[in-house]
Amino acid sequence: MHGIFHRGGQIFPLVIGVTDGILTALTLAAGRIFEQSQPLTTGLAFRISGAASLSGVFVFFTAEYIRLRGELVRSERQLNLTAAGRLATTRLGRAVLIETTTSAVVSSTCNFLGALIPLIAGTIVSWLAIVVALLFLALLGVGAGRAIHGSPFVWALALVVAGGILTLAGIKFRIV
Amino acid sequence: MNIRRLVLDVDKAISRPTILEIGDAIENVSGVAGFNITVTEIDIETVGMDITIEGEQVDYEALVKAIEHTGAVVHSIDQLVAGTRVVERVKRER
Repeated sequence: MHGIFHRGGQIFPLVIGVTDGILTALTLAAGRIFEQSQPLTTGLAFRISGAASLSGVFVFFTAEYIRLRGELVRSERQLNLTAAGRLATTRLGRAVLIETTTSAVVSSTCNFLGALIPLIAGTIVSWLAIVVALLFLALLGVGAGRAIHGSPFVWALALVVAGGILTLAGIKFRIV
Repeated sequence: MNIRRLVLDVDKAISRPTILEIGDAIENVSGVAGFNITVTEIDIETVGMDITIEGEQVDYEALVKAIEHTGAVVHSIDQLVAGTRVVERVKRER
């Protein structure tokens, strides 16, 4: 787990993708998971995961691209460049675009899988979706805690509590 | 003018470009036989470097363009050696 968090500098899109995918799946599907008459289906699992992934990719791309272009603007000021946007016309502009696109693809894939795996488990036994989702969040918390030399227990607990809150919200809202 | 050596004052942002990227850009400029990049100053967000380039008929315009295309900034020429032979700096004495 520790290795995954450091490989290729993709920790941010990986964590945000998986976390967002699991939490979105819990919010959208929690109502259905506890619905005895209409259990989760594979088709619904794919539709929810696809929707989570699609909305996630646009949000991630926009936020990350603005963040990295903002970094270039700040660097221009630090380097005393008088012409605004000059660094964006260099290789750095293209590097920022490529980096954002790659990260968005990683985030989107993780988002899709993060939502899909628990939901597919839920098609076998409905409550298994919640168990798998919370287990994933706990593992993610342990990995994140270790990666940043924080407390793996606190991180795991925080993510599991967040998952629990959104599950309760999903049961209350009954979105699907 | 046959440029044989240039010492440039170059700055870059901390995170990018990397020194290897700058080196790669310099290496591909016509006339460059060798170079040295030495970090002279590290600030919170910037890195200052002295870049020494040696060669024959070094293409200065292409060199600056190549360095700046990586995202680094050439601030000044601190030394220029040109001609049919290399002349080292002689310190003035009274």
